[in-house]
Amino acid sequence: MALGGHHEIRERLIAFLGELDVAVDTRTPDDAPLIDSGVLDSLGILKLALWVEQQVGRPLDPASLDLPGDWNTLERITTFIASRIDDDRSSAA
Amino acid sequence: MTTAHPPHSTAIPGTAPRQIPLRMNSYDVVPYAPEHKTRVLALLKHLGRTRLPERTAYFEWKFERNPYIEPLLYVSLAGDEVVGMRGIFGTRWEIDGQRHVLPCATNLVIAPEHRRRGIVKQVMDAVMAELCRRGFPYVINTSATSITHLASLSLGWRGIGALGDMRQGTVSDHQLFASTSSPVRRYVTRLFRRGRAYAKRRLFGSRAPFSRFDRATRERPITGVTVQRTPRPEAMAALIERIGHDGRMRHVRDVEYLRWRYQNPLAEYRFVFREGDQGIDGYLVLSTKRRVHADEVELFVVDLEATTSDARCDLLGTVLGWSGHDALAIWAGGFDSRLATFLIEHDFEPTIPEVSITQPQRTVLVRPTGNCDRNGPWMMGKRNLLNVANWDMRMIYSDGF
Repeated sequence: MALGGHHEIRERLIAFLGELDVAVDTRTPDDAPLIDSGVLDSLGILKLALWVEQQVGRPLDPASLDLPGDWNTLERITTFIASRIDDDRSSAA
Repeated sequence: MTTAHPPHSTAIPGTAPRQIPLRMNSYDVVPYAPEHKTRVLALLKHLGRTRLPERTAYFEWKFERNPYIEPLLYVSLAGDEVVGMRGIFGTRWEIDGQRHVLPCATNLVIAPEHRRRGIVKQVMDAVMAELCRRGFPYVINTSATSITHLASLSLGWRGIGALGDMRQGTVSDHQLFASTSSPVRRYVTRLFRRGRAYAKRRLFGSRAPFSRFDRATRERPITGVTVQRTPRPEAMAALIERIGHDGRMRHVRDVEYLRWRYQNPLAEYRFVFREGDQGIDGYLVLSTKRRVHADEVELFVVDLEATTSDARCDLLGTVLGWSGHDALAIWAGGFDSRLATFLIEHDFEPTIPEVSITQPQRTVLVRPTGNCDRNGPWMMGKRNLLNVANWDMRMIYSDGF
């Protein structure tokens, strides 16, 4: 499923994390650490990974990922998804 | 001891930016001590081993009798109860003539009722700090499950790349089963494989893993080839030393290692030796496990060494003749062209690992124990640990990767 803009991705991400009972909402700062703080635990990361693969519409190669760098904050996860979707659009064009 | 505190409320009324809370818990993470043993053995049942004697034998072999590192585990305590653990066992590697002991992470277990409370990070952090304190520059993991794999990636581990294997005979339905996302197709595949396993049992006899193989070795012996249930560590180590190697990263398979490794109480092996004028001039080690969904025997070549490529092919051909209707698998990569051709001629095909962050990956995970550059390069000697081409991987290093 391809998503729209950055803002929409962020809102969907927050809604999804809310379903996982992860303590974030729309007031959570973009740069608040999720992994380093332990807010996002191992099971949460697994579910998030499944969700991110759904959003970008293809599997992700773990060898190309730097999870602490790419997924530690709402901003970084949002940017990660948006950039992967942009990559697909560019290669399809 | 690492002590954390009970959760606190995070609800803040109004529109101010919400401060994200640390995921606190009330567990103590402490180094393993012998008085924890009974409780650790109880926790290990969550790895799927239901019989206590089996778990005890495994724990004592892997940690207490490991030749390289004293038992190094951290346990998470809720009161007196052990509710989580992370184990480390020692491995010794050689690379370009240099030998290094590398701690290998294993057995990350959290009791189900204590999951999602931050124990994984807490216990892994404690282990990492201890390894750094002991002076180990890197830690590896050769057998992570999918969830441990992801948790590790989130804590700064990196994979060296996917490790594949080659299988004979059953590639199509194996890959179909592994890759299909349709429940109906999965169900049909499972039914088909169970039916085939049942038919093989009726036609060819007992379900004991090596029963058909053992019977074949008795009925069709081959001059100059012997089969044993136990290793010959001195002869095997001498052969490995005589053959030499290309400098890639591999286990030091000396007498000490071989003697310890093949005592794994959860595995069963057969050792096929090619007798030569000066001891053995080749050996092949088989292991076995049942496929989870099909109750079907699959034999794995977990190690293979010989003085010449022809001798390696002869050994493999002999085992193929004896294995008959059991499927045979071997690790992929690093073969000389003669052996690679032999495998292709005998219908071995590489299994194609599914590349996805959510699938269990056959790989080696690596992490520096200290705070070195996350982007690497992570070097051991002159070799980059994150390049799969620098590793001479065999299944014996982790009993099926």
